[in-house]
Amino acid sequence: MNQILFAGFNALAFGMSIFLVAAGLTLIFGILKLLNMAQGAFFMIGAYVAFSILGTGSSSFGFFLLAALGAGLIVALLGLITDRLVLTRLRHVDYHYVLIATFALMMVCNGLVKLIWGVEFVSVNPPTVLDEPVELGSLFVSRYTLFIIAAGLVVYLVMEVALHRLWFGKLMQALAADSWMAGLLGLNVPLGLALSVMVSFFLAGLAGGLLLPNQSLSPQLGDSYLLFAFFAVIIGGLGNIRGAFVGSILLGLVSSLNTVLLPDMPGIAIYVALAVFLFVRPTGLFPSRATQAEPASDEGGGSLARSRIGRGVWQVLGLAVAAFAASMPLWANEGLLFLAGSTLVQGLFALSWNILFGYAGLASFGHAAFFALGAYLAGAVLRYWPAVPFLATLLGAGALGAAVAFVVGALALRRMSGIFLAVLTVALSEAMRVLISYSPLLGREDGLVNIPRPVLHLPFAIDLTSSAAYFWFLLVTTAAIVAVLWWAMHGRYGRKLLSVRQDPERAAFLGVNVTGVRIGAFMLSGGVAAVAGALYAPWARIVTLDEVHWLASTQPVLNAMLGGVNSFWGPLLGSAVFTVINYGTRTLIGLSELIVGTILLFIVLVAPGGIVGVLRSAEAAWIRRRGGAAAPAAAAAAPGAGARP
Amino acid sequence: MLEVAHLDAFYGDGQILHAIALDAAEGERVAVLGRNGAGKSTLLKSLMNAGPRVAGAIRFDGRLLAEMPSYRRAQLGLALVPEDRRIYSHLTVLENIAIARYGAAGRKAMEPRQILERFSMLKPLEERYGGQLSGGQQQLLAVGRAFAAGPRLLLLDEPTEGLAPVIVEQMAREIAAICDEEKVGLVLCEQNIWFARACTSRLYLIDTGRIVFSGGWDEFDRNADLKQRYLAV
Ligand SMILES: Nc1ncnc2c1ncn2[C@@H]1O[C@H](COP(=O)(O)OP(=O)(O)OP(=O)(O)O)[C@@H](O)[C@H]1O
Ligand SMILES: [Mg+2]
Repeated sequence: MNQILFAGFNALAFGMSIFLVAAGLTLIFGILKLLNMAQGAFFMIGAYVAFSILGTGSSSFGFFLLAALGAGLIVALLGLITDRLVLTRLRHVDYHYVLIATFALMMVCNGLVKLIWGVEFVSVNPPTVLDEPVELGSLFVSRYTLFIIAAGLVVYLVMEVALHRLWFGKLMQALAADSWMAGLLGLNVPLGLALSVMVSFFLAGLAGGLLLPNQSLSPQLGDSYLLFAFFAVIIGGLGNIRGAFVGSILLGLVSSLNTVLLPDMPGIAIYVALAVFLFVRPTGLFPSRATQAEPASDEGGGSLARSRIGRGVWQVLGLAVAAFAASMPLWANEGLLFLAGSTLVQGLFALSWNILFGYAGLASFGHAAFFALGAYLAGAVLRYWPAVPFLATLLGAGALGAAVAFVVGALALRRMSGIFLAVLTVALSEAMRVLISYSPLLGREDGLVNIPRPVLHLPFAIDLTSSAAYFWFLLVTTAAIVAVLWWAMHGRYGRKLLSVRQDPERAAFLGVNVTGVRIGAFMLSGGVAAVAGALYAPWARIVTLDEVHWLASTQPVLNAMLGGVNSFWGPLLGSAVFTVINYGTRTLIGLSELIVGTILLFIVLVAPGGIVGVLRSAEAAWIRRRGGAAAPAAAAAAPGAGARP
Repeated sequence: MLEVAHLDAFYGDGQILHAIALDAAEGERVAVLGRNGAGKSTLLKSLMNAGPRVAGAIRFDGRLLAEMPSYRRAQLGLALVPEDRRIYSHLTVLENIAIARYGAAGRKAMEPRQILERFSMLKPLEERYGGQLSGGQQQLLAVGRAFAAGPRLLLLDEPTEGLAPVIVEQMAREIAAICDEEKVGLVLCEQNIWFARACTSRLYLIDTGRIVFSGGWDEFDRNADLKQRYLAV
């Protein structure tokens, strides 16, 4: 009996701590239709700010509350800055770009936190009054836990009353429901939106301060909370306070049951519960209108005109690049060759991401899960079952990636909303990370090391053990896959994807199975990503949990955006350019997140067409300046962009 | 009070309005008539900077509005009642009117309850939520709501659409009366010629984005072919 009570109590406490983070997340989604991927990072900043105010010693209750409020206010100011610099510029673009921007913002924040507060774990005691147990009937519980539960309830009640009873809340709701009309009625819409962003960020900072003594403080703090807050909000129905509240409590219960029933695998039940829940009730507990309508997705994309430079020029250029790459094992040193090979793999990986984004109009934020799937599969097979032919392993990896993509896609895409896919892919990569860290076969936290390189047994044996041989193998395989994809994307299949991307409703009206096409694209994308991973394992000869980290999932997004998502070749170009940037900044150790995040943010805000987009505009300007109004028909299609209208 | 010169308006790359010239003096009431798709709604939205991309000069009280956002225009005294009404479903009738007070920005305006008295059909619905009104009731509420901002120039986009003839007559009297009392100007886009005539003193005809006629109602009546050419379907 006592045990059940205790479990229930813990469930409530965990649920309330999730809700404290989810509250701001759901508020900003409800009003701005913006899924803020950086909410967890700002929550973490709140915790660090409170830590800076409090120090590590014990403090009085009042001072603790003040510190939490102070953290909230400072984060609210950061919210205002974020709104001015980033969010206001993205009010009218495709929501995927907003997702990418806030994702980049999260990386910038994580990088900044490491820079300012370091990477060590610190722990902070609750204020003295809360730092002792209290007897509830026959149960001993910590006062701090009681405080968290109370804080969650108070925040919930205040938000409910403010939004539904107070005039201010009704104004906010009016803004959320129809900001166009609100403007016509003379309401200062930009101010209202900025205020709601600030309130949401305030809640994140406040939660950071309040939950600071709950666990040790480290730059990873934001990740897990963000994910659970996402889950709570999805279970509850996006943009709905009550939903987030109930969803958080449910998650607390599930997690508590997990501890009681499956103590060996902490944290796994939540993922299972989310998957089951989404399968049974994809709209969430309290479906809101906000998520029903799918925003038009062609605004931010910007289609590219065909390049005016003839196809022959591009073909010669492509051959030259290929010949250069092929010659590298003959003259490049081991380090450079490794970078070149990794760039090929990253290029393929980015290409797989962009099949989903550039062609199907859906963004995955956990694409590393597929890559890691392939990498771990290939690594394990090569280590434990060397007799399996490597080409079969590659095919197996592709099939496995496609199968997992099918399951995730079937769960997420039934709702016709890319936001679900974004969250579920993040969840997938986290679930993978948790699972791998429990598996002794996959090396837990240490990863798979000393992966042998394969020997191909065609009618004749090809030994790929040497770096040069494996590099050539990489080059040929990548080129073959890219060629097949190029052919697919420029044929009927690619056109079908684009038609769904541009106007899903019209495509559905014309008899296209929109959900099916999207799931198919996701499977193709996941399969190719897994093959890229499988190619990578024997090249790097080590596969670790880094492969499923956020950073790994951002890499294809960044490479594709950098090169240009509206061009077939953009992701490959972006990967090459990023390798150069990375090589140039390799001395700035520990800044990778900051650099990656900043570049990504910069691209989204300034040049959403990426390098190809910039080049194409420059080309157009150049031709215009020369007065050459050459007939468009005379210009052969630039690779990739040609299929765009 | 309102002077529009050489106004072009675009949706994306498509030009919808071409070199529109239009004006309304203080307290003057004018109608804009035209077929479906002629550009009436686009014209009103252009005046509010609420949708189409606009080039040309819009002056209000002699002041160029240029890039001013729509909420600032509303605060200057321009009030648009859009054709799709846009009543807030989470607010009651009274609250829907009250929310428009922000547009008054310090000007004297009718109290929400006064407005309910004037539009007597709304009176019994005071506590009803916007989402629970019929289309016609929403239409009335949308017009009533606009007066809560104490507007100086009202922009009405087909306010009679979907209303019963009796209600239309009542509304014509009501609008004319309030506009006279409060010295409110009016730009009325309509297809209902009877209603437009009852509310205004002169008119513009708009066809495929161009003003094709401007003058008094007498002149309009004398040229019977105008109606034939620009309004008949
Ligand atoms: N959001 C939009 N995007 C693109 N084109 C538009 C948009 N809104 C209107 N149009 C086009 O602009 C033209 C004028 O439309 P507008 O709504 O101004 O007509 P209207 O005179 O108000 O017609 P109605 O009497 O049917 O309301 C039409 O050809 C319409 O197709
Ligand atoms: Mg209209």
